[in-house]
Order: sequence, then C-alpha cells, then structure tokens
Amino acid sequence: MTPADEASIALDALIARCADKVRLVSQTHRLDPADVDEVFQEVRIRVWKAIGESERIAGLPASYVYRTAESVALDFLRRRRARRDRSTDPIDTIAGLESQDTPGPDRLAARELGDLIEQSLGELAEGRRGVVRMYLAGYGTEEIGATLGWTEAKARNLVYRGLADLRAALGRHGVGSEGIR
Amino acid sequence: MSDEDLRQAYQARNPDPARGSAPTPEEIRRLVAGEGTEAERLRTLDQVFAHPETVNEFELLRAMAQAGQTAKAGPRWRGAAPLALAASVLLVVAGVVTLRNRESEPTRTVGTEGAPVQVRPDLDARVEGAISFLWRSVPGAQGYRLELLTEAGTVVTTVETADTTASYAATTASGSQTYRWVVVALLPEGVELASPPRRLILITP
Repeated sequence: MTPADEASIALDALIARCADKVRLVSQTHRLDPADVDEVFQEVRIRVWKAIGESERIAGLPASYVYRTAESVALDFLRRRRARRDRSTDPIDTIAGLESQDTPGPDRLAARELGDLIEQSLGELAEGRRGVVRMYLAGYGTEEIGATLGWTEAKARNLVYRGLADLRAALGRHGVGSEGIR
Repeated sequence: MSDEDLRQAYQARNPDPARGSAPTPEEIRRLVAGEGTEAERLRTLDQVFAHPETVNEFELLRAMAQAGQTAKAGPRWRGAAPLALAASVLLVVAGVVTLRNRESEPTRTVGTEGAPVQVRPDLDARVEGAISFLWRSVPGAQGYRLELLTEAGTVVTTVETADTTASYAATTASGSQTYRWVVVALLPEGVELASPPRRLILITP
C-alpha cells in the first residue's frame, strides 16, 4: 500500500467518525442526512488539498475536521440559498409542495390550533418567543440551554414561564385546557 | 393541554405570513457560536424557528458546532481521562499552563514555513516516566498548544502554555504506547500554525 493510499484510508476513517458524531448529536432533529454527506465530502476534499500526506493526516485532530466542517457547512448553506433565490418559486412554495395532500380532521384541527399558537406567540415578549418556539419544535431544555449558553435549569425555567405566557395568550383566543372552545 | 399537544399542533401550523425575513446563514452561525448579545441571539432564534425552512439549516450548523465542542472538550481533563485510562497512561501537567480565550474561530495551517520546530523528544524517542517537550519559539506567537495524539489520530490531551516547553509525568500501568505530538503556535486573529506530528514511544515501568 502506498503512503497516499494509507493517507486516504486514514482520512476516510477520520471523516467518517466526525460525520457519525454530527449525526448522533442531531439524531432526534430535522437534519437531512444528505446534507451531512455533502458537507463531509467537501470537507474531505479540502483537508486532502490542505494536508494530503500520510504522516500529517494520521496526526490530525478531530477538532481540525470540525472547524473545516463548520466552514464548509456555512458555504453549503449560502450556495443553496443562492440557488433558491435564482429559482422562480419562493422557498415557502417549495417547502409546502410535499404537504399538499388533503389533511384529515385531526390534522385540520391540529393545524387550526397550530395557527392560534403562532398568533399567540406573537403576543409573547421577544426574549421568550424563540425559546418557546425551539421547545415546541421538539428540542429539550438541555439543548436550548446549550444553544444560548445557559444552564439547563435556567433554560427549563424560561421555557416553563414562556409556556405559561403562551397558554394565557391561547386562553384569550378561546383555547382552554381541552383545546379550542 | 399537555406540552406534547402544543408541540404537535405547533408543528402542523401554517407559517405566519407576517413573520419577517429569514435569518441569513451567517446570523445562524453567530447564534450557534454564541456570538453577539443575548438579545441578538434570542431574536435570531425566534426568526429561525418562525421559518420552518431555516430550522434544518440551524440544525446542520448546531450539530457541527456541538460535535466540534465535544471534540475540543475531549482533550481537556474531563474527556481525556477515559482515553488515558484506556491506554493505561495518566498524564499529569507539571508546568505552568495558561489558557487562551479564543474569541474567533481559528484558522489552522499544518507543517508550513514558520510553524513550530520540535526539538525534544526526538522522532521515535522512547521516553520513560516524565516527558519534557521542547520546541523553538515562533515570532509573534501569543502562546502554544501541545497536543498529544494516539497513532489513530485521537487527541489524548492538550495543554496551552506561553512557554516553549511543557513537562508531563506519566504514571500508572506498565507497557509501552506510541503517541504523536504536535505543537501549535497560537497567533493573533485566530491563526494557528501547527508542526507536523512527531512520534514518541511512552514506556511506563
């Protein structure tokens, strides 16, 4: 096996470990696996171009790969936004295409309640709204705290208070503990 | 109504037409990197989740940053301990250590001109007990980071110092283990110049 082959194998292993970690961190959320694959393919190219020698790649810390991955991911998102901007369909239209099938009664009721939640969120203090949105989107208080540099206890407290404000606002829109009145 | 009911309904909602513009990828990056004031980050967070199409962008950048954070945390003592124990080696810092507060993301270049030159231990040196690392200074460096890695490239531990030396005392179980060590010069504006890795064999009696 040539040194270049060894370097290539070492790099593949390192990239695969880092990509797995990213998937693990995001396993319960809306991360598209294809996005992770595309980003790490580009990371591989950049690292190979920058280093490309067996000895150096073998000693490369994972933190270097992650730093490169963060930069590549940002470029990836910019390119994708630019492609969308060039297309004639607005993002919302494209995003909504997949859900154009006729929803059932439960779905309609949930959507109606969801729209009232959206309306009620607009009545919350700006500082609380994002935290509540993140929680409602399925994130836990530990993840919310980590995103904002807070302790889990602080995040939990603010989510609790934000949800109380939301329920009060929903009450003003005729939504009680049993749903829409 | 339970939190779960609220979540399901929220996720089924129609986007608010009056929600304003979506945050840019750069704004999302600043949020996940913890940059800007808390008020700015809370505003961006609100905008991210008000635009369902940006949530997966946030998640991509968040997952990258989060995974990277654990990689950075690993070499510190908390994360290093299980690795060190697995390798039956415990390294104890025996020098003056200063930690640098990094405000921006570093840009790292490996093995280029101007990178630190390792002096001691020599390539493939067999080191028993305490290890003294020595390297030549780099003009303009604000400090140095010594990284000790396994052969597979996993960082076992790192230490940051303003000096051009660092000492470690290896203790615990017997045997020999091959490592690589790298010195990274920490320059202004987040620039990092790294030496090529140099192999050493650590022997514990």
